[in-house]
Amino acid sequence: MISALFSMMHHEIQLTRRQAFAWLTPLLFFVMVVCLFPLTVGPDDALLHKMAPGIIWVAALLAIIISLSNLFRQDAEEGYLDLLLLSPYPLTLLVLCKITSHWILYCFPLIFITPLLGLSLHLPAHEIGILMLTLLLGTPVLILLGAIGAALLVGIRGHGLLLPVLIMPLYIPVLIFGTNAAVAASLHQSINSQFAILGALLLLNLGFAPLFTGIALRMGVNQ
Amino acid sequence: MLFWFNQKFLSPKAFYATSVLLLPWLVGAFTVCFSYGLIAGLFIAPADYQQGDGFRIMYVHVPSALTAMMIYFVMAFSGILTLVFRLKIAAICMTCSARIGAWFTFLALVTGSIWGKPMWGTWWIWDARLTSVLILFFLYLGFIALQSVIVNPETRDRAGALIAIVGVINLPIIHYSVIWWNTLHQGPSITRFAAPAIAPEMLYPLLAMIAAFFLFYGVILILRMQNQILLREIKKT
Amino acid sequence: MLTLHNLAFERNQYKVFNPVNANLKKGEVLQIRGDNGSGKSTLLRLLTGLLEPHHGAILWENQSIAGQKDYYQQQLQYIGHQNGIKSYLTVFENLTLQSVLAAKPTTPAAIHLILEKINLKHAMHTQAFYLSAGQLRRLSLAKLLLYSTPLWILDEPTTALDWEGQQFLMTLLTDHLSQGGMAVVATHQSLPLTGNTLQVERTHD
Repeated sequence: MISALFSMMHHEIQLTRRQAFAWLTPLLFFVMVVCLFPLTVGPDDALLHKMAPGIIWVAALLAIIISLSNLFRQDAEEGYLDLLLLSPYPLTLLVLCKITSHWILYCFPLIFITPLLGLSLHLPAHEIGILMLTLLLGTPVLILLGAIGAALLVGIRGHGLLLPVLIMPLYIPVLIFGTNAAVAASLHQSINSQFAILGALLLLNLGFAPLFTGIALRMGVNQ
Repeated sequence: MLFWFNQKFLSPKAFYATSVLLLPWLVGAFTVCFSYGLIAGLFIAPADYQQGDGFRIMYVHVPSALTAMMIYFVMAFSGILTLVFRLKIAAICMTCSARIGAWFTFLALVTGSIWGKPMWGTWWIWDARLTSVLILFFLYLGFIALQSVIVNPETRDRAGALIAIVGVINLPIIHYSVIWWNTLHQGPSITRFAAPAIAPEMLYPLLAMIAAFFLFYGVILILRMQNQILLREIKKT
Repeated sequence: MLTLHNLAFERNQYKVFNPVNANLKKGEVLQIRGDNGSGKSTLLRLLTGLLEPHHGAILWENQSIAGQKDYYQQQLQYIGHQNGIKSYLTVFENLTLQSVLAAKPTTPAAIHLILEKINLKHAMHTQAFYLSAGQLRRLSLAKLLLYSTPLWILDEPTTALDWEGQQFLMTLLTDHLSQGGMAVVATHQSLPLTGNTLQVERTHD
């Protein structure tokens, strides 16, 4: 079964890589949003340094939400969702596969480009490192929660910004602890509690979110 | 057996009949609590030594905020009943509660803002409670927005139930993370509202107002649910 | 043995089609006929267990499928209106993925053979969005050759198929039925195979 799941992930990744520009658009969006901030609040070093964790986190959050709209869209249009629902494998695991491939495809580039953006916002190296770690732990949670929203909205045309509106309140804890870890690092304070909570959130959502996403997918097929 | 129970007590028709009988009692109880709470709170309770007469908006703000939170739990519980037992009446309760809850949250935000002006000199402050209520407002609006785009009534109920359940699971997490966030950024001028020992003359009207608001929710909920039940009956024929 | 007993489904509280009764035995085809929009696709989806009926029951081997959904879904293959083909994967990858998802491992050689049968071997490493509608439909039917199940549920399989494709489908069905399989097929044209025809009518309110 494990090999089957890996095979599925491999196909998902192949699929998205082939739509090269569609795949990298959220990354471009991420970079652009971050660049908007120096333009609006001014290039002052200290201010940008202070705001940097928040800017990067919010921009990443927005980019991820945008990428989530497409999580199940193509599958629903192509009739592929039925295959997932009729498969003998538990839907929860198949959903987890999709979510993992989505995370690998969309969040790794984000995390890798963060150092560049961090430097442009005058973040010192070790804070960039902490920020990247928070993104590593926090972005899976964003995708896990967002998948529930994406599954609920599958098959509804023109829902526009409903997905962000629906799941952004749920993102607030991750946002708070993610950014605060970076801020605490800059003040040379302990970051253990923040990372502990981020880890806990990740585990909690790993347990619940794929299950709820599966339930939502079964509902959505009734449209 | 379960089917009989469902038909006897939980079917929309049965609920309608029961609610018609229940309504006058609820209205009566509400009138009593509300009158006492309002008169005692606005006129009889002594002025607060710190805040003067301005604190009296607490008699509207605190009940609204508590009711708003309580309604979300009712909504989520109805959601569980909808999803697991497919009870139509639970779905109706959930949908109606959402709108009522959104209004109470809005009221809590507005009264909180009004309370803030004489207190801190600004119309808004990012303290833990107000921010929590704001996020609760977003959760309500998200729920209503989701239900509004789904055409199929069955899917609408079940999808709403799912998002309500996800919301209620996250609600404590959000609440405590906001409190934690607030402790980090607390400015020197913020004072806590909850007086450590609240005088009975202030407390009893507050409790009465809280009860009144809960009863008011009950009354409005029943009226809205009755409307929904009738609407669904019309659509069937 | 598949039985439909007083099956009905509602959408927005309207009955989609009048209650239907039908029986399907081994070696038979149940042809679902009806006008466009009469609810044929909905009926087929009910039979796959993806939708739940509001009234009536579907029985497999004289037991309701509601209690044995997982088992029942392993006894069937469903090809709906949409092809279930991922456009950005190649033909070969699509078939591999389908065999993986169905937990029925297959070999590249077997896939080559199937592609030969449906005359798509030359397009083996072409991405699916380059294929024509007819080729895509043939590819979606190729799933039926990947592994065998007793019950086939096909929603208008002849759509977009040319004459050759339709011959291929008939061969598929005939072989399947002769081996003791059964099929439910929604179709506009009558298929010359043994079995009953079910006329689905939209209810008029």
